[in-house]
Amino acid sequence: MDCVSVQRILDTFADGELDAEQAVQVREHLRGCHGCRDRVETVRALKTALNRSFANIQAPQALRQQILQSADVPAVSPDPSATRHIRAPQRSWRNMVVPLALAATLVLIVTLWRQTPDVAPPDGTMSVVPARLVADVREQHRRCIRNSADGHHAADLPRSCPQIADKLSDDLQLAVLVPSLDAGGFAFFGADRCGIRGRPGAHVLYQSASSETMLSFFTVGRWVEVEVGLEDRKVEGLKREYVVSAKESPCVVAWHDGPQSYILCADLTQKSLIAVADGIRVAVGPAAGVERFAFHRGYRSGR
Amino acid sequence: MLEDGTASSEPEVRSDGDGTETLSSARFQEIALPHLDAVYRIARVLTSNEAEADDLTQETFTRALRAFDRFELRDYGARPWLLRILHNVFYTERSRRKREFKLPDEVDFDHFADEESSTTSQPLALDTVDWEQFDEEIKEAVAGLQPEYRLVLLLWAFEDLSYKEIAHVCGCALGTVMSRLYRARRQLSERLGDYARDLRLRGAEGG
Repeated sequence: MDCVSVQRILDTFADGELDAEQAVQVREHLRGCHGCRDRVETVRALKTALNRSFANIQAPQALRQQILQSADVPAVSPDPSATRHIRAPQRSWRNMVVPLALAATLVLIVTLWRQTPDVAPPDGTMSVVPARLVADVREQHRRCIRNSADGHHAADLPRSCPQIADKLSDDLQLAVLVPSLDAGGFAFFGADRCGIRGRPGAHVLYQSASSETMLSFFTVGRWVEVEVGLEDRKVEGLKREYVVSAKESPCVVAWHDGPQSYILCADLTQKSLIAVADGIRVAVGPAAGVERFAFHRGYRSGR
Repeated sequence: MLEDGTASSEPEVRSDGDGTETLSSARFQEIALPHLDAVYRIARVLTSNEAEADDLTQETFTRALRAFDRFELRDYGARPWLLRILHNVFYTERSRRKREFKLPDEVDFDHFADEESSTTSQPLALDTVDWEQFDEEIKEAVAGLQPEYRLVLLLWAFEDLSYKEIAHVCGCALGTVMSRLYRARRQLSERLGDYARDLRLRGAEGG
């Protein structure tokens, strides 16, 4: 399919409403077309922005009481513990969606649309046996899951990036690893998605300064949207759940900055995440000397 | 009966014989009230007015309660049912006030791509963005949409409803949902795009 044909059905695709056969064709087109992919991300970003902007609206307590009384149900106490059972679970968009997402939204609304970096700090790091690159990451996931009761998730790597801590820690909330790698090299074996503990996330497999193969995993708070496709979701009433599959997002990028290397993981496509990282580079300053990005899928970079 | 959204095809008379008022009220509390905040949020954004949102929400739940013994959880669930009532209350009220409005022509869904215009942009400096202002821009942009577009947009954004579910809530055809959603998103993005461009211009002037 060409761009014109795809664009006629792209919104439907982005909403997950396209029939399976056409969705396959669109997905095929998206693999090689950044423009159309951006358009799909646009739709998601707009949903994110809307939810964030109206996140604080809740029914006033007085209205709640009136409705309860009209239902002839004893009025509930304003005590939150007493009302919890009748309140709908609230999406904490305000907490989850960070300003960076809005910045991205602004940019993409003109042309490039982005998803929300909605990522918690890395949940943990563990030493693993040397893996045979990306194909082994899945097995490492299983190891990780099996070992999750053993407390290995207590991260032993620093989670901050001092130069840009003010940008990262609270505002951007991007997962950052500073693996203290030496300047001589950085082996970034691969990353893959996983759904550990019922939360979507990603695993990153890399080599530490001591040549140990390390595995860190990240979870994201919620899928903003996974790659759209009917097979990716289950709808149970109004609850929409996403199953993890090997699609593009979340993605991981890594780069060198002076003696340190950084890894970012976010629920973004690769292109968007690079843009995010590039923004951080700007925040650090022109002399920061970010040299290159390493992508997942077994890319290995060195100096 | 369609005005109150309670007598269309989906709710059915229950024949379980337990429909005492107490049980019905308790069940109503269990099934409908958890959606109060969600319904209120839609009402609040749809009306752009706190008092109207209160009235609309209250009337929605009043009618829902009145019709609750005919409601059965199937097909769409409680929230779309409530939202459908909200939709009907909203338009009944608008009709009563004789506020005539006319929608622009619906989009020809086969020609979406023809309406697209390509634009280019330069990177936006993040530190020039006032996020509170951005939220306000979004709110104003949403408030500027035709109510029909606004409702479809909110159902899509807040509730993650499918086209079919939105069509059910709004009582319209799937194609109408698609074109309204397309239009709403496009109008919103144009408005926010203007904001982004202004911001970029101001950033350029400043530095």
